[in-house]
Amino acid sequence: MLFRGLVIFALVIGIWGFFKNPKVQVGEKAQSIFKTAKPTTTEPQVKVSERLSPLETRLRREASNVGRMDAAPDDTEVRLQEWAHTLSATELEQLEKAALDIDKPQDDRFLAVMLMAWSEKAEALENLKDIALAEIDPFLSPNRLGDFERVLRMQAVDGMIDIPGQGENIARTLQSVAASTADTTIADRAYRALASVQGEAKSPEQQDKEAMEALLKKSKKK
Amino acid sequence: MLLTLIISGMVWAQELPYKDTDFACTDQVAAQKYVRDYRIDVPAFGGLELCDSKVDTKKLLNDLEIVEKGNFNTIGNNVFIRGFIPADGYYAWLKSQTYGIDRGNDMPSATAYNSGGYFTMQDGWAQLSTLGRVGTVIHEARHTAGYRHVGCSQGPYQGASVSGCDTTYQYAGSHAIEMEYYARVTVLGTNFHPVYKTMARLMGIARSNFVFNQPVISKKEGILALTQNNSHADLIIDDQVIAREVPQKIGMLKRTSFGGVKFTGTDAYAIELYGNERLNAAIEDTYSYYKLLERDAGPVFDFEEYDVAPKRFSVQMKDSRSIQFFNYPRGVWNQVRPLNVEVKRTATRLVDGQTGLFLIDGQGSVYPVNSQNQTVGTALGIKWDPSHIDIATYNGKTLILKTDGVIYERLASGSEAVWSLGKNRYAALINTPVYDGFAVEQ
Repeated sequence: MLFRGLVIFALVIGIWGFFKNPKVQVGEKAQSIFKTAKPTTTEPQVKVSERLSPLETRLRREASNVGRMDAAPDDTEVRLQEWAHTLSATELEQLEKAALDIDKPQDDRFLAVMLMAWSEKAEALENLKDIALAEIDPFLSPNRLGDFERVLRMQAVDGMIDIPGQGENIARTLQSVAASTADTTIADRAYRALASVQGEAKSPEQQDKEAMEALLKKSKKK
Repeated sequence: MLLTLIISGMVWAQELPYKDTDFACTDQVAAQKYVRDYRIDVPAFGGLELCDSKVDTKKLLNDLEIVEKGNFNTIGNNVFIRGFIPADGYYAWLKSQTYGIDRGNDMPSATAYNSGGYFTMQDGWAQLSTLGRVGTVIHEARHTAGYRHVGCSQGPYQGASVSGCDTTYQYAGSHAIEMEYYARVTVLGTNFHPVYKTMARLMGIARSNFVFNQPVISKKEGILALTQNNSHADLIIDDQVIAREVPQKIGMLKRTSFGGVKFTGTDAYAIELYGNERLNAAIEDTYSYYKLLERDAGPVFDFEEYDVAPKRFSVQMKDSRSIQFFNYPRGVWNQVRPLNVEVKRTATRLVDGQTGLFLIDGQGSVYPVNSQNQTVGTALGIKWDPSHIDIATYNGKTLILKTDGVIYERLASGSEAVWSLGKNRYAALINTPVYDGFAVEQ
């Protein structure tokens, strides 16, 4: 009964939406001008009864701040790094699992990868490698979901060089990532990170920032 | 006095929530303003929800709060930040381009679409990170002014059934507006969460590589000519001759995707095109594909990094009778292929204008390399003139460096004249890309 009601409601709204707005679309993937049923659930891809471990609960709580303004981002980074330093090998495994779970919110997943690098634990290297080499589901690419998957893996590569005292291990891991990945973006990132670890170049993050700052300097001269 | 303290204490408590659940909630007055300003179809987003980010309304409210309250330093414009949207005007601009925001799932392949200023956010939007959602809203808003996409001629979206790219950054379409926002967050943002900023940097770099059919940082072809006494190289660009330091190494002058290097057979040393550092230090080139060199077995006979549009190729010759291509998708070198000629030298440009990779034997016979199928063709009808050292092109003119150290310009009549911009005697000559994102200091 409720279902029938929802269907009728959706049809009415869909017809109303069409007459309200019968214009040609210019969106990224515009194909049809018809609107159909509107969602009545709020999170279609996330399990309603999602049970979170204490670690995931904290991850979710911290990740909810990613979507908020931050008056003191440096303090936030220090606080997150302090938390990351306390993470155990088991918790790093849990974070890896969370990072690769496409049903979890992307803010949670990205923060999980950053925490793994910030942990400065040698064990995190393998977790980050697993993420960098995890195959991107072809279903997710090419679109924004696929772009996020690629960016997540780029961060995993960047994060490896934050782990202190593991120079040779990091170099070996990056070589392995560069040689094994089928994604040229990840391979290029791994080569840049490798050059950084070997003392031949600045970190990819520094390279990104310096390139952008150089561009700004140029405009200041004008 | 006591009353003042109590009142100020109450205000303090309101301004700084201390419970996590309270901290994450959106202010009701602000929420009402967003709903009004953007004509949000609240029921379609799951009803008004100020605290629970699982509800899509809360996600959208977060996104609009970030758009409204995000703060940027204003230093100036650059290649990415061109002032398409004023740094302090995102909220007003977004409002002016949005006639309504709706939530639907009628187009599962899309993240969102804009129909005459009415946005419909799809399930894909709800699954995105905060940055991805904000980027999507900003992106869609640009479509209201009529900016449309074209098919992608490169990158992962190439061949997709729908149009997903913009021709250029200069077009100032949806992708450019989105990239400008990411660049601002990365280098000028003052009050964004560190995770949000990191994601903006990586997303900007990743997407700017493939959503524009012409690269964001465009390049000009300049000339780099190494003097015979190895004291410096002349960079010739826009008809200006600019002296550049060179690494004090013995090696071949080679073009790379980022500029030029001195290549010794084992190492490549970068030539700084954009300024003179006066360091007198040789800096290994780790930016171009010379980093792929396999040095373990000693010096290689030759190495080339070159483009046969739209693809880039890297080739190494461990000796004069073999060739090896790098397999980018697999990240490894393919098997060594033996040659049935003894190569004396290679070239990437011929005097008749042909480009690619050419193998030249001791008799001057020129063998073209088919880069696509990695084979070597039969000798061409022309021979390499032994008086030629290198060939390059400048503003449509063919330049020839000869063994007398002089650069000649080939005239339309077929005759040759000394090139007026060649001010020295040179040992080597290449074309070099000069990127407009960086200032060339005199």
